[in-house]
Amino acid sequence: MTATLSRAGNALHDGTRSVPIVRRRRTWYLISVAVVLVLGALALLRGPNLGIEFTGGSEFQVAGVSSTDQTAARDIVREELPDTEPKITVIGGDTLRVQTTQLDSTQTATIAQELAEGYGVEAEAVSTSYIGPVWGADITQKMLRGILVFLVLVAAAMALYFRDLRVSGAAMIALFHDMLITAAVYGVVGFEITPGTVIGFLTILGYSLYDTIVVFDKVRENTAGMSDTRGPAYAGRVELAANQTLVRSINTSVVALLPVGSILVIGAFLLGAGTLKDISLALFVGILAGTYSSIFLAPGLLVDLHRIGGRRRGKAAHPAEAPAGRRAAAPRRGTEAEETGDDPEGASSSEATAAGTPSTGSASGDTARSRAAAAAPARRQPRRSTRRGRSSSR
Amino acid sequence: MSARRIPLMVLAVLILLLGGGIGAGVWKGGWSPTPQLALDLEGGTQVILQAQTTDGSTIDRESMEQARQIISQRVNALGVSETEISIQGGTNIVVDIPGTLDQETSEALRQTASMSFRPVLGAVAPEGVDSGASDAGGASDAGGASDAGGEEALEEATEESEAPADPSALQFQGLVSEDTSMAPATSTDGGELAYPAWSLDWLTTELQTELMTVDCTDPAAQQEAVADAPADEPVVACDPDGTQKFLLGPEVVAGSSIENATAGAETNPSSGQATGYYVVNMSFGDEGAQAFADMTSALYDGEGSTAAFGIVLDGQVISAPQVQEPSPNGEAQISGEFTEEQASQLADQLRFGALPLEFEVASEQQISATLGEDQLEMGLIAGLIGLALVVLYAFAQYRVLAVVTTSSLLVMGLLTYSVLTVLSNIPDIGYRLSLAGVAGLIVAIAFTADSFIVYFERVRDEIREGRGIAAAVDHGWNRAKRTILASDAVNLIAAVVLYLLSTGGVRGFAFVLGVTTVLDLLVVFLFTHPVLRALVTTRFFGKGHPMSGLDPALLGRDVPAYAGRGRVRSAAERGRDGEAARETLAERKARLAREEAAAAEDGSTAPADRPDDREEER
Repeated sequence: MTATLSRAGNALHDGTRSVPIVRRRRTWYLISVAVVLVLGALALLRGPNLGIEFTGGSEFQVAGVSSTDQTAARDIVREELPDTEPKITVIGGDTLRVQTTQLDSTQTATIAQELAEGYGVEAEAVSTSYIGPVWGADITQKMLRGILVFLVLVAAAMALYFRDLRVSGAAMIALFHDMLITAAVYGVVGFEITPGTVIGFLTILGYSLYDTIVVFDKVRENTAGMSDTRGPAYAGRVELAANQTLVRSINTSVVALLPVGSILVIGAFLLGAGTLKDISLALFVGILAGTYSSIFLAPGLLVDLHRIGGRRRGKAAHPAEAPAGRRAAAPRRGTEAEETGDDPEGASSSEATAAGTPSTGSASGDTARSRAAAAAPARRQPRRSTRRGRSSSR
Repeated sequence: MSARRIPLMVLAVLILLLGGGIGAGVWKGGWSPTPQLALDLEGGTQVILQAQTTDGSTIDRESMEQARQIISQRVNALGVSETEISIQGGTNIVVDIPGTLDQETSEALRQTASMSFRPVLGAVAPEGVDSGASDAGGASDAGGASDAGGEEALEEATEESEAPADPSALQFQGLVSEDTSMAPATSTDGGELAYPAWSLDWLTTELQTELMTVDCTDPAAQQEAVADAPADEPVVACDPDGTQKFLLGPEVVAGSSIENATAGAETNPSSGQATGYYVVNMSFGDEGAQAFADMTSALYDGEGSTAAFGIVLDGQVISAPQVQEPSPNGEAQISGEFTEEQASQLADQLRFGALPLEFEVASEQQISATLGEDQLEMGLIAGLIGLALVVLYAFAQYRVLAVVTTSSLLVMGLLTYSVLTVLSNIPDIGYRLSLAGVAGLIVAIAFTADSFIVYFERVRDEIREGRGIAAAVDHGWNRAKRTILASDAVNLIAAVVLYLLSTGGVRGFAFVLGVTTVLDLLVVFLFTHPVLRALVTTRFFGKGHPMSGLDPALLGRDVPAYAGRGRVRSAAERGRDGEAARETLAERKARLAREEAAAAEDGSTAPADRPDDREEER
């Protein structure tokens, strides 16, 4: 396996093999949108399952118990409320405190009675009351404010580091995507949302940006000194950079997923419930989404953001040149131009691209899009099949 | 060679210092050799605070919620251990504190009395019964009283000079002398009170006698009496040190109407330069602002017996500033040559001292951990299995090079453990490890591995581009370094911002994130890179042995030569590299052409021209 991945790394590095990350970016966008919509709808249908820490709930105190074994209480509550994880504490040595989600009066009475029976105490020894949230609105509010400040700072820092505001834009969209998917999957699975989940989310926040920055750093290296960032040459170099960091991204996510996965497996299957399960599910999904978005979404978004910016400027500058540009661009067939544009050895083609650039560039994104659209159906299908054939032969 | 060893030496010194610090702490300071555990894993103390109303009014949810927030702010200000605070049943606030209840936390919880602002009618030193201090018949000298501190200054329209800062006995001297001269009463009508709160009409003979007899050498004794005193009557109170005795008028503003109080650096009004001292800025809500403005302008105009007012917290006068200017808009500044610590302490007291309700400790009991021991055990086992898998994967990917990864992870683990042990044993930080923290740490350590992956992949890229192995390590490092720094900067920003702006569990998370990010940088810079550089001088790695993970043949380079000795003849090497690159490129183009012919419509990516790219970048 290792040799395969190394060799794949070689081919990806010199560009003899290339995953169509930028070329087929619309497909990747579409997959993301579809996943978010489907999972999001399912999650909304289920509704969030907020833990006691956020909602508050009911509290039972069983006084004067002879045994402080917590499993009996846990079983009693789980029998009545299969979806929640009670918090059980021993107070002062002989009092058991059991906290559950908010119950109605009949449920409360049932559980109180069963607790009294289960621990062999009088019914009066079990007191019930309401307990407020530990994680109040103030903590959430402060956290959200913190996240907002963080995002603004990071966007500014990235814009400064990469000298490009669009890099921040692409990274923020990718981050948003990761958070949405993680939240949606969490909602669909229906685990209780606890402070552990929130911590998991915050970790994802950092991870997603981290991962994207590694990819963009390679993009920046590959596109250093390029003045025209709207044309196909730029897209080609971004494509190469994304491919060159592919092995890194895969290795990173595997390395991050291994411990998270083992915590998730042990947490969910051996322990059944609790902090470990909550935090590791959020992390697992978030890392997967973060890897996907940093590989497949962020580079394409970057190219598109550059094109949008280019189109606006181009239209303002030379509105009249657009048709000429389209004509000049016509012979250079979409994706092919992007790839060869990156090939300085093929002097003729790169010169042609360069010559075409001023007009093409100013004519802009619609030109590029129409070219891509024209080229797509004709060329993509067969090429993909040949590549598949080739890679399997290796 | 010796220069290369410096980072490793620094790391060794760091580890020795940490280890020695922990050892010394355990031996002398009663430290525990492991990080302390949080509420969910270790249990702690449960304190139930019961809300009291003195006037029989109902306790509403809103003020309970407000009280909960203030108490949690107070407790959280003491460190990063996670305390759980919730409202129980409507009138109780349940505080679950990890570990045993220490003195400081206990005080923070019990310090529940209301705060109030009262004008100072008179003040004496506690032992100065014979100083002839505060009698109503004193000469009228109100204007002169407010010149205490000509040094301060304000952007704001309002300002009080703090002559008698409580933390320092020295400053009290000024007030004592000023207070010997008092303004006569200029009593007018006073709203609900018989006279304005600052009026000398409050000064009855009994009060003067009380002022003389009250013993401030034991401030705690008088504290309770003051706390129980009705708001609409004058009272005799002491400062916390017992060095000053005040006769205070009725309450003018309740402390709960303070909206905010912050400490900031003081600037000189004329030059705008920092004076090196700190001030406290505070603002009041609408109602409080009006009452406060009335009091300050009256005191400023010399209508009171002194120009000072007292801030009473928990029955003690924590501060008694002189009015320098009236405060018409409810914003005021207290200055008085505070140090930063004094200023933020006062600001905290002003901000958190103002609970909307009074509380009484109803019970204080030990509580057990909410999670069984099995949870922590399983979590640790899971983490170890996961990290073992990471090591296996690294060996599969990077062969013997994974030794570097593994040892880096071990160093990271060791550093993390000892740093957290130190941080949890320092009382001011008091970090405690919760189960979520354990999971977060395991993941953080795994994320650390990414720095190595970024680095190794960069080195491999350089080898793919035809560099010698030693040169590839240096060159790859230069590039990987920037990527690692940039991406770790994001985590650091997240950690700092969330730590500063959040409370509770989020703050604990931010703390761990910051610690692990810094450690990640330390490990990569002080361990991974120096070790890798040392390794490439060996034959095994430098020659690119097939098992070394740096095998040029495996990385698509047919010419593995010149590695290791590359440093000596780098020019020759570069020449060779160029040749090799050109050769390979030609081969590649030929192959491509063949492929192109084979699959006629194949538009697969043309080869990127790496050597030329490098030229561009240089």
